[in-house]
Amino acid sequence: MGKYVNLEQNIFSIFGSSEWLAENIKTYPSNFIAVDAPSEFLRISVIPAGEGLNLRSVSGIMLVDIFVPSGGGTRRLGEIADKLDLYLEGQTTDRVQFGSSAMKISGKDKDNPTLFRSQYSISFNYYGVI
Amino acid sequence: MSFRNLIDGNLNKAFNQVRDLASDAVLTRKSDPSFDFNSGAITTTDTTLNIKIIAVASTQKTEDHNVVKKEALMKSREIGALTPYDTLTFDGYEWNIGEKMVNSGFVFLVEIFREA
Repeated sequence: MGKYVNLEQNIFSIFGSSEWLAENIKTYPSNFIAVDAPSEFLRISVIPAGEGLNLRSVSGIMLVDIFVPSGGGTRRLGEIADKLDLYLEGQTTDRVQFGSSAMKISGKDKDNPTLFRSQYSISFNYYGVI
Repeated sequence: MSFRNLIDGNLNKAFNQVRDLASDAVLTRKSDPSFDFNSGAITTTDTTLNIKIIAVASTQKTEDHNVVKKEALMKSREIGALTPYDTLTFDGYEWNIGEKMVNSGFVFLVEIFREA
């Protein structure tokens, strides 16, 4: 497999781990349409749009859209972002090294105004071996 | 008298009276979609249902690639719920169900797509 599939596997393995599953926060990848999703969930997009150190490496950013119920303030968004930091910020998987994170509050969801959302972002480098 | 049953009964009559304007179709339902982060795979439970649909509008768009879109009417009661993972087979093609689904409670009006 090439660098893009390996990168995705490296990152997705975090969200398939028993530790993350025990957090009990429903998590979906982008381009997956959840049916009967709860009112709190995450959507992950891996964007490998930057150059890497060599031909088999790549850098980029991972975006996590955080959805929570509207009307409850922003504390829960911060709590979930803090949880994500525990698994991601400054962490290293087999071949992925994460940098520092940031979060932008996006406001009410346009499709479902009973949801409120923010976008957590974190940079990464994927190191492939030549 | 149940007005719901009355309307559904008249709807069945209407679908029969339009004769060949209604098409036989097979709805493949992909229920309970779930994603496994370890395998990267989506799993669904597939079942099929024979239904009648009325295709009420068709547009073809070729700006970037060649896509055919139709709007189709289906009886809600015989279908229950739809998801964007469901597909519809009729007129010799498999159609993907789009994101826009309007359900009046008696009739679904959905957009269906296929590459041409």
